[in-house]
Amino acid sequence: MTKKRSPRFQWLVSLLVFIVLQTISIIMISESSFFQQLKISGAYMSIRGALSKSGAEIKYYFSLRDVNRELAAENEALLAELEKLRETDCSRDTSEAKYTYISAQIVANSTNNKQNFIIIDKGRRDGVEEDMGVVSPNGIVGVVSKVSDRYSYIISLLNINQSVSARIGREGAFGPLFWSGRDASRAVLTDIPQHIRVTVGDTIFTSGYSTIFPPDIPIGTAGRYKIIRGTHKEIQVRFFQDFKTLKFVRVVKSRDKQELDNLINSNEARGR
Amino acid sequence: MKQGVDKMVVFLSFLIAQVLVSSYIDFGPMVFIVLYPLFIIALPAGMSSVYVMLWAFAIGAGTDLLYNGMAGINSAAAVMMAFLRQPVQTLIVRKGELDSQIRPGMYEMGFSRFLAYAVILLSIHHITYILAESFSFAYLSGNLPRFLISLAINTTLLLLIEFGLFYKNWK
Repeated sequence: MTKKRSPRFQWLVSLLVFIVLQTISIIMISESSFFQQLKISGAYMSIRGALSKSGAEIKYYFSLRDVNRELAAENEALLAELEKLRETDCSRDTSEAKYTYISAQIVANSTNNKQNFIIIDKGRRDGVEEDMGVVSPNGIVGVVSKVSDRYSYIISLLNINQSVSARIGREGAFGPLFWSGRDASRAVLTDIPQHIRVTVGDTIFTSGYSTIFPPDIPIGTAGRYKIIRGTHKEIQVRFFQDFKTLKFVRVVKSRDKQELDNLINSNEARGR
Repeated sequence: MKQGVDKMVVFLSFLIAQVLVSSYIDFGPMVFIVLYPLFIIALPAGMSSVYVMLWAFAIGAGTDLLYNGMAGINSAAAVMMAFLRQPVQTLIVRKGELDSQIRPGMYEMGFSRFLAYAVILLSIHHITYILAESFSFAYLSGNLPRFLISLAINTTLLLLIEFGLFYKNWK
């Protein structure tokens, strides 16, 4: 195959090729947001779209029973909530809700990496924008990372680089919640002050302190905790959401996001 | 020419199989399944490591781009494995035992040597994969069971595919 050259020269050439290819790989890893954009752009999605869509359709068909049950349960909960709201105050102006939702179906999902991503079938055309939160009936799912016309790339909550602000109970201590990377049904809530009392089974909610997720969405239940370096507690959280059977999600559109972000940015600029 | 076409067909089959497996089979965060290492392992024995690395990069990058994970992880692991293929081969096979054009498969090497060859290269692949994925050594303790489980499963799959599809003499 190759002509006779001195082995040392051959070795140097292969080392050079190795370094070049490995550098390209590392650039690919560090510039992954570019590739995310590429992956949901028109040409790419039409290549794998057909395959992926038909697969998703088959999966969808076989899971209709579960989907129906989930939807019925959610419906029931929503009706109850509506009834409660109607009783408490019907005078308040509800013409413009603070959060609106865009429902979407999952095209691709994974739970077997350290950095998992989800692709959904709604994009810029439907009003999805970058940095919007994504929720499901059973909890939160992730944050939109890149958007194309018809698809969006979501950083799943099952991603070691992703964290959300969560709190214990409806008005308890709050801290960052992130995935530990070991179990698709568990996460870790950390930075909880040591004096805060936590009982196994306490519900963990979103705190609403970011502009991404609305407050008081139940995420999971608290499990065992341990004290880290004598300063704060680290609590195991078991998700309500099963990420493996996820099919329908809703993208959260916050009315005040723009305003809040501007406020924070201007404040930071003044502080400098 | 014909050999090149053959290789291309095998390459595409491995790529499609890998993308399907990655997209539809999901056992949770403790296991990742890779099939394409067999393609790299079984390239002809005397092939220059430059070509092996280029093939490896092609199949790794193809997997990365067609699957919705992080880009670059599979290609980094595949290239690392291809780079170290020649030294591992010389470690396991005595000089001159494999002809330069022969496919280093189970039939040609014998079961135990093929197993050792595959396990060493798969370990290299998995270690690179896991390091590239977390981009640090911080998760090493949590990754050890992941490494071992994935290694066991992928070795089994590799042996099954090798035996079922490429082992010529089994009739």
